[in-house]
Amino acid sequence: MAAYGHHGLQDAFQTGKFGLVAGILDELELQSADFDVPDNWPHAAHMLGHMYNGDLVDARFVWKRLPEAAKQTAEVQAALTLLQCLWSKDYEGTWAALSSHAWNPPVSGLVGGLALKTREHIFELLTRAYSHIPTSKAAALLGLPEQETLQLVQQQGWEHDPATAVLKVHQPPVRPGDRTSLDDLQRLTEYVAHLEQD
Amino acid sequence: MTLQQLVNSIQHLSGTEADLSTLLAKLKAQESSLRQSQAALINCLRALDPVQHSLGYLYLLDATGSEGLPVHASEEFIGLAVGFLQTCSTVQIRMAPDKFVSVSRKLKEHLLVLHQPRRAVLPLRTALYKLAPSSDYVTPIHAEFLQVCTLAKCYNSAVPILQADISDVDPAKTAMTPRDLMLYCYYGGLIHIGRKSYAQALDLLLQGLTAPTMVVNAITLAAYKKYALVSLIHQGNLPPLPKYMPTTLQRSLKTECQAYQEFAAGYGVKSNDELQAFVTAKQAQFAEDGNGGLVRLALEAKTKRSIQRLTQTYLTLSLADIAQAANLRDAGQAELYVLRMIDAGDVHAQIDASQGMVRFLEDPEEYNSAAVVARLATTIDKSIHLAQKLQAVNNMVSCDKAYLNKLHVKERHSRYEDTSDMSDPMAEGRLSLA
Repeated sequence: MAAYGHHGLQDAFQTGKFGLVAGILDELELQSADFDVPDNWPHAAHMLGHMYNGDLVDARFVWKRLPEAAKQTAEVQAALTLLQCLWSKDYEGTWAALSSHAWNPPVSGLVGGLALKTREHIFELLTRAYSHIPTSKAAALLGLPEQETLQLVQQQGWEHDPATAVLKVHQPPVRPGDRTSLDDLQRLTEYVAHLEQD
Repeated sequence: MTLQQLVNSIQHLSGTEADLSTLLAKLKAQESSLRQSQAALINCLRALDPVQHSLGYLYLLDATGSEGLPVHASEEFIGLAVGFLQTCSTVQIRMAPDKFVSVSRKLKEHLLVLHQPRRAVLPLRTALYKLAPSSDYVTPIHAEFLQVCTLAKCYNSAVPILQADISDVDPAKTAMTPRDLMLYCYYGGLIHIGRKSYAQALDLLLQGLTAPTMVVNAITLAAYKKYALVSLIHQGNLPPLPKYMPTTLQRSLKTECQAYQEFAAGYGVKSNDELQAFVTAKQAQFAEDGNGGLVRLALEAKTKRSIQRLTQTYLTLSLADIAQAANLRDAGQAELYVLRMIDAGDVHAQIDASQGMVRFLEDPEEYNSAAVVARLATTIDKSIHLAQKLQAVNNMVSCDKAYLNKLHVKERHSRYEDTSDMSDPMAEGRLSLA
């Protein structure tokens, strides 16, 4: 695949800087005609790169401009299913979509990174959204077996009630505001100077 | 002057600024005869260097591209134009902005005939940066670039261009016309809508709508339709348009965009079924305008709004009650819906799944973090920058001769009116002194 020969892209995959993948491919796409040739372009990685950055709209536009032949490949179809789940916030479906396809390297690394990010995001969401949640439900949303879910959330201070199988969510203390620095004072002087001018 | 003589002049007069001015005058004089010898021009271009002889190259290149929409795209022209836009000298092309815009536009037309808009994205982006004196300026190439981005579905390529705050228009430097500005606002709005940045989309569309104009045009009407629907999706209602809207436009909106105004008027009051019936009746019109998708999104946004409204009334509410109030199937669906809304930041709430209750919370942002301070600082900096610019424009206008003359005439006129109804016989005499 011609695009994988690009130095920056190889580097991004090898060092796990998956956040760069989409940007590099976007620029390359404008410079060459390879995008329109199904075997010459990592279309699935291009979509997944945008998903990794949380830019679902851009992943959707990559899908929309794919050549017809590329849309039919198994990997692109799997990426599309995943995009649809993320788009509609179908949390449980996301985990099914992530594991339903045997991703090939180097895309598999990117998908692994995406899974980690997604789990982090959902955990943060559950902390915000729930005061009490059944263990089974938390496990399904986090895409983990119940035993691992328990381990993960208990590390974060959640309490487990074995009788009802319900978790009590531990809210992390609110971070106090940062102190003002000298820079802020400097800025304030500039504002006053500007106001005095008029 | 023969073509060969012209090529010689271009080769010899591409050095100093004075030489270039002489050359520009010569080129302008030869314009019509150039167009008649199109076939020979390609050979002449080979003798010139796009970097050193940019000004002459630009005139010849423009003459090779046919006027109006090309029937057949010419790969030769495309190749030359792409190479030229990427490499040409910024100083030289800024001497003939209208020609530069014309070449960019012709390149776009040729690539559209081939159905390959993506090939135009990069050259037009380079061209835009070369023509604009700074990122504050909008050029005619902005609109062309944004249009190509929508056609090629490369919406995110347009983002850096749209993020620059536009505050200057200079027809002398950029060959800008009012139509270019309206198209810039319209296509920019489309890009933002496509990327779901609704607030920015509304901003740009409104700029296009309120641009001073004497005549109603298709661009403004299309922009208004998008504006109405995005307002409903984003804020749940269609606020009245600002008073500085051109009056001709205000009148014609009622007749030209009736379906949209009725939809907006009924949006907050009608039930979901009634609205659906209205949309079905006007389906053909919405589809014809290419707004079917936005209408559907506006309908979907109603469920979200009905849950948001509950937060204003209740502190805690059971999931079953939410399901009933928002027309959802059951408590399970309501739970998922609320969870998604919390995820999107549309509502602040906490679900107690063991009791089946939702507790609505205040916005947890206390506006005391470093991030908020940084955001505030950039906004203030922008405002100061803008205020300084406004002051500069104000100063410039108050020194402008045409403006002062007009003001003077007006003043005299009003003084005459003031005194005309006085019975003082001396009034005439005083006036002649003024």
